Amino acid sequence: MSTRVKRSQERLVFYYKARDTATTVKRSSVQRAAKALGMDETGFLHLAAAALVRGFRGGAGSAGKPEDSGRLTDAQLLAIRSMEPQDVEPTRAFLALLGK
Amino acid sequence: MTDEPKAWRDKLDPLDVVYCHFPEEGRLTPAPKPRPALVLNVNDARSPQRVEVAFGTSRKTTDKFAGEFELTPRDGRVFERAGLVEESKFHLGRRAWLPYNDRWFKPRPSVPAETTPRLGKLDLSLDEKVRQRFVAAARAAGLLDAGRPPSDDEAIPE
Repeated sequence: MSTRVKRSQERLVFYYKARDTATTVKRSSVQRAAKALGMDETGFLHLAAAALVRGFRGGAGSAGKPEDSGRLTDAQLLAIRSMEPQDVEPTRAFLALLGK
Repeated sequence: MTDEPKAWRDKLDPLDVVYCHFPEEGRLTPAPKPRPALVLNVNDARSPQRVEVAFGTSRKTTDKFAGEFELTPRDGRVFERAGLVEESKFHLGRRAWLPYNDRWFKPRPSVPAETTPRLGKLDLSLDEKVRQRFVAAARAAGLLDAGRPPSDDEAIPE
């Protein structure tokens, strides 16, 4: 059974970089990885972007990525405050940014 | 044996938005549960820098609490500048002083290019309505009243 994803009319011209770095890829690297997964180049780019977006959000549906557990409980707040000294005087405060 | 926490090299400012790790229920160690947090006050005299953060969450909550400040995509440029990607709530009454090190603060997961836990800045000068909302939440959390001791937030009765 196959599921067709409706195609959007939105387009983006994608320029590859000349080399692979922590934040860029060259085309041959993508083609090689896509071929290994049995995908075409576009499908692979969608896969990579979708995985990154889920990790970036860190929220529900992020495929194994942690999400925060909601509003901090009294026990958590107490634990945090007991782990680090709280007798700190601010040298800079947000109040200055409010003009107070 | 645990590694000594390393201080982050950048310095935070009040109203910076950061990514923070907090303990899970019943545990006294920072857990891999990243949350957004809002820096309220800083102490630059200590090393590592000490920052007072208000804890936030990106999980949908139906409860409304006094002292809670919400930022959503509807806030436009303020939301974008804060570096958030999801609606988030900061509980201004739930705050603590923490050392700005990698024990408590970590970059956003899955984004290897990010080398700081800092996500962005809550720029209140961009939108007067957002500023008013923040001031109201800060007032409810007792942050604007010098005569009132810091207190945790209180649930608003139905």
